[in-house]
Amino acid sequence: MTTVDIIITIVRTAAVFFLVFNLGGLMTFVERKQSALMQDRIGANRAFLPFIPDWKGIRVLRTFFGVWHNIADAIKMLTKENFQPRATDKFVYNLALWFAVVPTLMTAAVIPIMQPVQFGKILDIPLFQSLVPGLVEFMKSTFGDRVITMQVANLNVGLLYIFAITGLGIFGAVLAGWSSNNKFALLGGLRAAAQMISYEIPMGISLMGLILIFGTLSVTDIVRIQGETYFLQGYLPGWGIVVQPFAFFLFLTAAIAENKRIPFDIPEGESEIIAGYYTEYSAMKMGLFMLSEFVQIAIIAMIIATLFFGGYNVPWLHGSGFVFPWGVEVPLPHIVVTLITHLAFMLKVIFFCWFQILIRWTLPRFRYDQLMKLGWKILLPLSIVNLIITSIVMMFLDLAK
Amino acid sequence: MEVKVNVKSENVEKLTFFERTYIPEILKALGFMTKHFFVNWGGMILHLIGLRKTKPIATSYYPEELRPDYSPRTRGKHVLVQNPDGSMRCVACLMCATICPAECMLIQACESEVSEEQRYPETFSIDMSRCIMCGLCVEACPKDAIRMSTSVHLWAPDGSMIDRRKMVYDRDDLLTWNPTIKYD
Repeated sequence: MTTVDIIITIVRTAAVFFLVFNLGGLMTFVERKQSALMQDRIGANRAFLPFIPDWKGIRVLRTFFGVWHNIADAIKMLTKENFQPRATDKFVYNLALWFAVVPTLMTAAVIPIMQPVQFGKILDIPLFQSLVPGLVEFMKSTFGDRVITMQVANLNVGLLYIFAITGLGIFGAVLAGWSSNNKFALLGGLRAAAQMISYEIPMGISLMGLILIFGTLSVTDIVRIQGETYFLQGYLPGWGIVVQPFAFFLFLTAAIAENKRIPFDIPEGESEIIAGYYTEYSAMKMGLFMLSEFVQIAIIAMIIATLFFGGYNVPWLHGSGFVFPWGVEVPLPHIVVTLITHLAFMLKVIFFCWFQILIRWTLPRFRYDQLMKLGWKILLPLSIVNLIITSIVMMFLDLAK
Repeated sequence: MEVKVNVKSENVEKLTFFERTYIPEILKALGFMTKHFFVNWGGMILHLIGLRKTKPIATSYYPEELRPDYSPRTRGKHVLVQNPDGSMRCVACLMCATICPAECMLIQACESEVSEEQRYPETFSIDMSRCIMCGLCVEACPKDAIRMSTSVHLWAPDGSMIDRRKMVYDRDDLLTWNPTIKYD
């Protein structure tokens, strides 16, 4: 491993975690404001930075639509009393927090956030050549022709990794509920265990069809194949949603249930069991549980965008520019293509974050029996049927070859 | 004896098959909420940049912005009435402070130098952040010394209403109705 490799790894890790953390943090703001707009309210707008002036008598610029409430929240969480009940199991109580937060962040490691980048080529456009010729030469000599995938880890078992790590998240809820020595927390932990294990099965089986079709477990390869496949003489991009439309809805439902938010917030249900498994956590410990929940919204959006909506792919955009099926070609430099792919990925992620919050503020909570019925009697059989039909179709397609 | 009652639920609507799958209904709800979201969002942006007069959301940003639907006859401004010679009518009998349900008035009586019987208020302050505009002080006053005038006082475009210390109006403010900010 050379110095260049280490630098590349650090840069990729920093980029992905910067993205994930900031998306998760902004989700608190988006949730406040979006729920307000959906319910004909204004939403949080009082926190302000005193050095920003007023505008037109309305403190819109000063409060900036309530975005500073995030900072106020963080300061509040960090300065509150970190109360821990005496009867808790201290080791497990603190360990549960790690299980809740760390796996959530680790899931993002296999998601590519933009197309594979050739750092040797990225500054090789006339603008930079005339402005900073030394830097262009330096990048060329350092990176050469290497193609670097923009994700933390390019694993060939990426999908299995996602399931393994999200499965660890159950421990967070269960251990937190058990170690708190509180009836409500224990109830929440039990419910979380039942719900998350139930929904992990349809979540996994619904993706089997995708694995069958793309023939790989590597997330990088799945995204690449989605960008290269086209149907209907090149007019229809072969994204996951096109080849597995049914699996998308199953996966979306199961993923929202995994996130333990309304309409699947049985483990937390405020009106029934206070805050569920994290009832006894206070200050920033509780804040970390909340943060991991919001980060998980972003992660689910990333997984859905990657597996079903082509990840960073834009229809008809290839490495050298747009190649439209009706014969028009628009060549673009490498850096522009890279930025477009990243923008496309972010737009897809933001759309699915928005969609999850839309669902959370529209649907009422399921009852416990309804939840289990949906998981075991509806989602699981449907995902198995989906898998069987996909297998049969794939078999006949293979025979036709 | 056991009584058997056959209850037929006539009021419960039978769900059709499509309603029982919930999917069309969920899609309907999501569409409804999406419409609300985008109508409100676009409307607020248009209002902010000045392309639209009214806001799609009825809530007003209170201390900076006055509700648009205040009646012009709203009586929300206490006035201490003066005699023609400029002296106060108030005799500091404390009737208004006694009846005030919000206990927002502070009156300190002082003996007048003009006549032995008459008193006048040395301090007469109303905490506007606590006043509920019930008008009972006006009803209670035997000298017609305090009245409610037609205006909305609990609004200052400079946003000074954000600070509750600036909302205590004292005697001279209520006499001349030119509130001055006492603290900074």
